Amino acid sequence: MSDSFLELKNLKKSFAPGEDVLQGINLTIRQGEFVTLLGASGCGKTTTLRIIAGLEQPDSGSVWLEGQDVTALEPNQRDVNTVFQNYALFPHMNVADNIGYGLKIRKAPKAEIKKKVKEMLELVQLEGYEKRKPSELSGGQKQRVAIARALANNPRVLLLDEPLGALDLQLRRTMQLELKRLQKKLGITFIYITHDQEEAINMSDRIVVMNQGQFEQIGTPDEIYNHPKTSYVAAFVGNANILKGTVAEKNGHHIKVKLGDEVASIDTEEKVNVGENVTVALRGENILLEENGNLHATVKEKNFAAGQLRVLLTLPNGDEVTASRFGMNADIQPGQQICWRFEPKAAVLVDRPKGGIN
Amino acid sequence: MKKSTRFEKIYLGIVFLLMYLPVAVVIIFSFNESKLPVRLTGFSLQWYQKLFADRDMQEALVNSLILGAASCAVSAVIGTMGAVGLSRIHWKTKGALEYISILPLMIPEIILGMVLMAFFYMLNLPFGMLTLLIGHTVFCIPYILMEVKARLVGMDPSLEEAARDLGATSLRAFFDITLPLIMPAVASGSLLAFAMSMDDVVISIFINGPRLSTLPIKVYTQIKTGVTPEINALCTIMLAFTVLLLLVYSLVRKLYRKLR
Amino acid sequence: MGKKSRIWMILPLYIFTLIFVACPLLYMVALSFATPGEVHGVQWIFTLDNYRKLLEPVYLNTFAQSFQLAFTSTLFITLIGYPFGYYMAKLPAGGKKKAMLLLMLPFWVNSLIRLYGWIIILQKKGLLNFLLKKLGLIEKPLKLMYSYPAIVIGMIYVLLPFMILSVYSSAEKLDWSLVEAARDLGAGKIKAFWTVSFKLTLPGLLSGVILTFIPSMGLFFIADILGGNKVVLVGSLIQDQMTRGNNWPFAAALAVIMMILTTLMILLYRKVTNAKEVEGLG
Repeated sequence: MSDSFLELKNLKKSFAPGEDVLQGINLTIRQGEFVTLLGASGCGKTTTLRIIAGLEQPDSGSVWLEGQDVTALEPNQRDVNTVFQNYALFPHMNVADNIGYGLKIRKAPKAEIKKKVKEMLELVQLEGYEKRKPSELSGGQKQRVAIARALANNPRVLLLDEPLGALDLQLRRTMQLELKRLQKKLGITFIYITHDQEEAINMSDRIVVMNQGQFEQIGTPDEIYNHPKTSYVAAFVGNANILKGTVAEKNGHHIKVKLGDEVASIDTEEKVNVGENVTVALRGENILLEENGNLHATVKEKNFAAGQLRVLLTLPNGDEVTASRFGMNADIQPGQQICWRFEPKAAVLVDRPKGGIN
Repeated sequence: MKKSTRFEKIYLGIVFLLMYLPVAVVIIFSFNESKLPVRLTGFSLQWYQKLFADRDMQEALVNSLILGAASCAVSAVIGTMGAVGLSRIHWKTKGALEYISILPLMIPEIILGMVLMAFFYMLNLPFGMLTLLIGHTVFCIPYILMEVKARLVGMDPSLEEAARDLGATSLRAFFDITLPLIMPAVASGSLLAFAMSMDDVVISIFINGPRLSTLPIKVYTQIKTGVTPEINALCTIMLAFTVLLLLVYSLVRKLYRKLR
Repeated sequence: MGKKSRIWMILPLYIFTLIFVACPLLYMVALSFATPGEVHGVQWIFTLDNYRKLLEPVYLNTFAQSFQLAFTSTLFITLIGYPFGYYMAKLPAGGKKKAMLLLMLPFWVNSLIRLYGWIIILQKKGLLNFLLKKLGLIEKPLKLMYSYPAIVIGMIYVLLPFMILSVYSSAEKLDWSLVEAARDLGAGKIKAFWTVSFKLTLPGLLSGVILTFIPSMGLFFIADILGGNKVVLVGSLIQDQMTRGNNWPFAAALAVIMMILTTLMILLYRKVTNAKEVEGLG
């Protein structure tokens, strides 16, 4: 039982006929794990979280917590607490009353509530803020109070719904570290929702990539980033280029793939056959613009964003790829013909049929 | 371009002046010694004394206060519960119900008055306080319903969810979180409803019955018979009362803003 | 899911609204097809006589008079209220707040009291005549009270805030840079106003028209107090038929017609503006 602390079994949910938000998802989460549900908005991650919290009922399937079926339990009957996306702090209560609310409902003695509130405020580094109203707090402080309030109940699982979404970049980075620190210290299972791949990679033990109500891939940040299974994961998490090609030659793990009229070498563990159509994921930073490159392209555009120079290339077969590198020095101009290449290990075959690994 | 010219300001000023002129005239002449409302002859409180000595007036005032408070209370409960219920339920009849309950604001008062009169007569209800209470509740509910509804729209639904998530039952979450947060809207809606109840002539006159009179009805019948300084005094008192209500209202509003 | 617990909350509203709003309105419709009793009350014999009676010249005339008065009042209200609401929206933020307060204050005051002030001013031995005489402008006091203009003044006075509020609420949302853009593109002041400002504040104007036109057919007490029964409005007629005339079915028929007219105007408004709710009501 130790391996399945929280288990989702074949959850299905739709809000309107024909519009399935969840198409039968399964997930097993271990005690003390930091799991992130990563996906674009509308992929069903919030619905999954709300079903775990009990705020939403699945159409079918079940939620198991420590071996007990909790699907039918009301939110107030579950040892699960939520940090809401917009904090949901009670505006008419001060910080102490917000944090102590759960304990007050459990009819804990006043002294105990006070002690716990103090302890929680220390935990989130907001000592002395007891009497403040939520409206007097900054975004980051609100976030800390929301976390303290959810943790005050000693939940078995803490659910976090894009908790850092409303914060600016700087604060978000600080809070990421802090959340990770808290989770390690308390040893509570965290289920975290975000659409920010960076956040997911920085914090999680495991990442669940969701797309259209289904799980695309479940794995460690390294697996998700470096070994994407599907083109969606590769594109969403690694901003990879997706190329279609055909296997031309095979020599053990080394294969040659025809991309249009040109041929590129790829190392792969996948079992492929010569002549098979394959999908190749290639991240922008792995595209090397070098004179001795065996591949050709025309520069379509170049632009500078987030510290990276991005060069949009048109391949001879009409496909477009984006190469990116740090710094903005690149002696190329739109319209120019250039050569490029990539390391055989840098490309990944994705969208493979199941069970095809050597 | 978006700057008020002098002409525009003068225009606004003149219209405001005309708006307040009749009210000012009523107040000024209520303190006038002379019976004729043309020349100021001296300061006097005699019309107030006469008014307070009038038994009928006192009775009408008491009736109006009771009616206003009662209809306001009943409609506050029904309207608030209704608004909260409507915000959570997705029935097909919901839209229709909402439309019908706001209808009393949309249809001419006179129709509402006559319709209620005919209906009460058919039901054999004795005309008096009860019929007035029902009638006033009919047009008070929309004010509260709309105020509370607007407040609920602005309210984050995850607040109540957060309470339930923290262990509160659905009912407890309502009383701990939702009710305190919509209370300002309930209060301001109730005040508005109370003011409307204290103001109503058209509907009341159809359903008040032969013996019962409210303050506005009293004013109406008196005005029809002619101008007297006592009415000036009565109007001034009602004005003062309204201003007092407004002060309370703005206080409630301030509180409401503080909570947000 | 706690949703069941909400159902009971809505029940009182459901029940009350059905019994005391929906039922009476349906009863009114039924009543309009019933036969009036000999002396009093109603005989439940189906007839269209009540509606036929509306076509009698006397009553057609009432409707015509009502419409004429409503039209005149609305016209004046528009002429005074539209610039007012528009200018008010151009005030700086602080000025807007003050103007709003000044506007809402009379709104809260009993309309009777406000009308009563006009009686003091307009009556034969009233303030206006007194002043005019003092100034030597008139010899004999003018007969201002109990006249058509007096009723119009009363209507304007009571209903003006509705027009101002709805014009203001749409003018307030107006993006003034659009006006500037129009001027920049070569439109004159007047042209810019008609092509941009007026067009964009039209919904507010229309809702103001509806909010003033409909009530001005029903505010019988204004005609009563200031007009002294000189002009019989549909509202006055309904009241008369309900109380003195004792012909309830006929009053019901009148009310049904007024309801239909009201509904038509609201529908027309929605069609013109594509708006869901009449502006300024909320």
